[in-house]
Amino acid sequence: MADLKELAAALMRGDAPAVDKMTKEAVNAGIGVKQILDDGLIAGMQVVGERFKNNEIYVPEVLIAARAMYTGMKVLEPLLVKAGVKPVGTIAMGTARGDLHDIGKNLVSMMMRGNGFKVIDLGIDVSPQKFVEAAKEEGVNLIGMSALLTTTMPSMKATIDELQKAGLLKKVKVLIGGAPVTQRYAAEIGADGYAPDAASAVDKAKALLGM
Amino acid sequence: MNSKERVRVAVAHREPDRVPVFELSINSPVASDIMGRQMYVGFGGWLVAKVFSEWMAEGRVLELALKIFSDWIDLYSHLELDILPMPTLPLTNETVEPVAENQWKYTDPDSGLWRVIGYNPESDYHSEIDSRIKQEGVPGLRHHVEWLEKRPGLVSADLMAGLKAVLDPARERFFILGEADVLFPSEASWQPLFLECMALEPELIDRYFEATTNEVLTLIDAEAEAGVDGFVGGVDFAYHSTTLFSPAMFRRFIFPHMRRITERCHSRGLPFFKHTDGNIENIENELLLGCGIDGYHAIEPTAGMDIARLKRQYGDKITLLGNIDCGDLLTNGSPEDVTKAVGQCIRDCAPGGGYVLSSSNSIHSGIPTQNFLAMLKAAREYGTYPMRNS
Ligand code: B12
Repeated sequence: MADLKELAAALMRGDAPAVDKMTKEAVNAGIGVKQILDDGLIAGMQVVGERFKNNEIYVPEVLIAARAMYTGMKVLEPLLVKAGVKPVGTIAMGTARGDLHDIGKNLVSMMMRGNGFKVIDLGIDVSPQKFVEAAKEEGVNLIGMSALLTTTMPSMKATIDELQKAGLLKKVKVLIGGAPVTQRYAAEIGADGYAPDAASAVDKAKALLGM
Repeated sequence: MNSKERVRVAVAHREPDRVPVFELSINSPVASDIMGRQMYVGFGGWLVAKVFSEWMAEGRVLELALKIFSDWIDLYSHLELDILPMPTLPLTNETVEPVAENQWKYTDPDSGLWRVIGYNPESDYHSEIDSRIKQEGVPGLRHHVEWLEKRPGLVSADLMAGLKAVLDPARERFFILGEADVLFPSEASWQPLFLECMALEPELIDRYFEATTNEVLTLIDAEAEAGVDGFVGGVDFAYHSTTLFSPAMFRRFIFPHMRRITERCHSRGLPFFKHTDGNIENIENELLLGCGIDGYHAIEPTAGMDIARLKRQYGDKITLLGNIDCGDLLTNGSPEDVTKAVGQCIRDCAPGGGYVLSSSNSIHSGIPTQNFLAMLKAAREYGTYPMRNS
């Protein structure tokens, strides 16, 4: 549909007022909310993720696209609830204990939201205990941990151990990332998945949930 | 040959007696371990968040600044480092009050701007966790920029005299680096807002960089008067995969001011070294050759910056500093691993001069002392000119 392509394009430009306006117009034109979400907002955010991954755009462009996306989401959210549209998954995200680097974690959160996930942001410097508490919450089926420091990586292992002890590893899948983290490290500490960037994080999350 | 000469010769791309050694910072836990007493140095959280805040609240700023300088000079002398950068100092007019355990609020009485600093004792980290600018968004940033444009200069006669005096004991011994840079706010709680404004409010960002660089130019003059031998800019522009913003934004916001800074340094006959973390390949040529910088520091190997390639490509034009990985190697490696890496780096980069050895960022609080000492020892072992296998 032509106007949803326009909506996706406005999102990619980071034009929040246009996204707000066009989302409302699409709703008023009687287009289904799920379709506006999928073919408008999610479609746009997927291109943003892809371009960022390929270094064609940079952090500022992703941030303004995400802001534009949120204005559209605000319009759609009540309608999605009414229509009974469920998030594709719920991820509780935080940076590993002791780690204050949150730009990467925030970008991953934005990309998750932009792909239909519900995100519970646990913030920075999150203790294993706090991750465990979040994993117990209803609906949460993914835990996302970000570490930018070699010295905070072990706390990701500690978290996985705690999740194991609490018997939660059947309920939630664990996804990890951050500059020094590797697939090998993920396998070593028993994380279910690793992704090198925000767009791949979404793909990985979907794969882990069997989508 | 003393340190000053050693560095001058290396920067002039000739071979001194040995490869000069430098660290941008050495955090307190490692420094205290080495010196056998509590050291007031580095940019770890204990000093920069807790001690700064508590001593400032007690009105003991001057005492603290003097203590930091004297510990800093003791440490760098003990380790026989060649370059002494300016230490992190509690230089602010803000008032400080505790707001929670390990959290302090800094308020600037003139502008009304405030920020909250938090400290994590377990990891020795600190950061700005909140601020008026972050809360208010674009209007907050606008208010900040207006304030920057009209506030009186930071440099007072007192400050100048003080700086001269504290540097005195170091002047003969070290090549001293002052601080100057294009002040992208990489540590501010409002950094994401700033990044968004680079895309949405470019005129406001132009004004921000114009105002902050104007202040930096006066600081360069003051530091030059106080007798520094060169400058380093410590603001990070990149992360592991690329720069934080696009080359087009660098051309608009950063490079013109970088040139103003290097020109001012050069007018004083002093070199300017640019530090940045991360991968800068997409702006490498423009930043390293087009902005008048004399050296590039950090050269983070885990971000894909290959110093041997940089040496071939730029080695005859600028000085390279750094590249000993502080993320994994110095943190988790063995002293033997460290020694090997230092040997390799020196073989690749030291022939002909133009190389200064240091870690790829700083000696942060997670680095075992023995690895840092192994790095320094290896620098001596392999770093003597003339090189055997060059
Ligand atoms: C900006 C920055 C800071 C800022 C952080 C501001 C903030 N709010 O985040 C400040 C100034 C506070 C800071 C402080 C420090 N830093 Co710092 N910092 C950086 C820098 C320059 C950029 C990081 C960044 O923002 N990247 C941008 C984002 C977009 O990338 P990203 O985080 O990697 O995220 C992407 C992927 O990794 C992935 N991803 C991220 N998280 C997740 C999670 C999941 C689940 C998944 C699937 C994917 C994923 O997707 C993201 C988007 O594509 C890096 C340099 C570097 N090479 O990375 C150093 C760096 C990370 N810092 C470093 C250090 C040493 C420190 C300090 C210890 C310095 C000191 N001596 O005090 C402190 C520690 C503070 C702390 N406790 O965390 C070192 C770490 C070395 C190591 N491996 O241990 C680095 C690598 C610099 C270096 N040259 O060595 N830093």
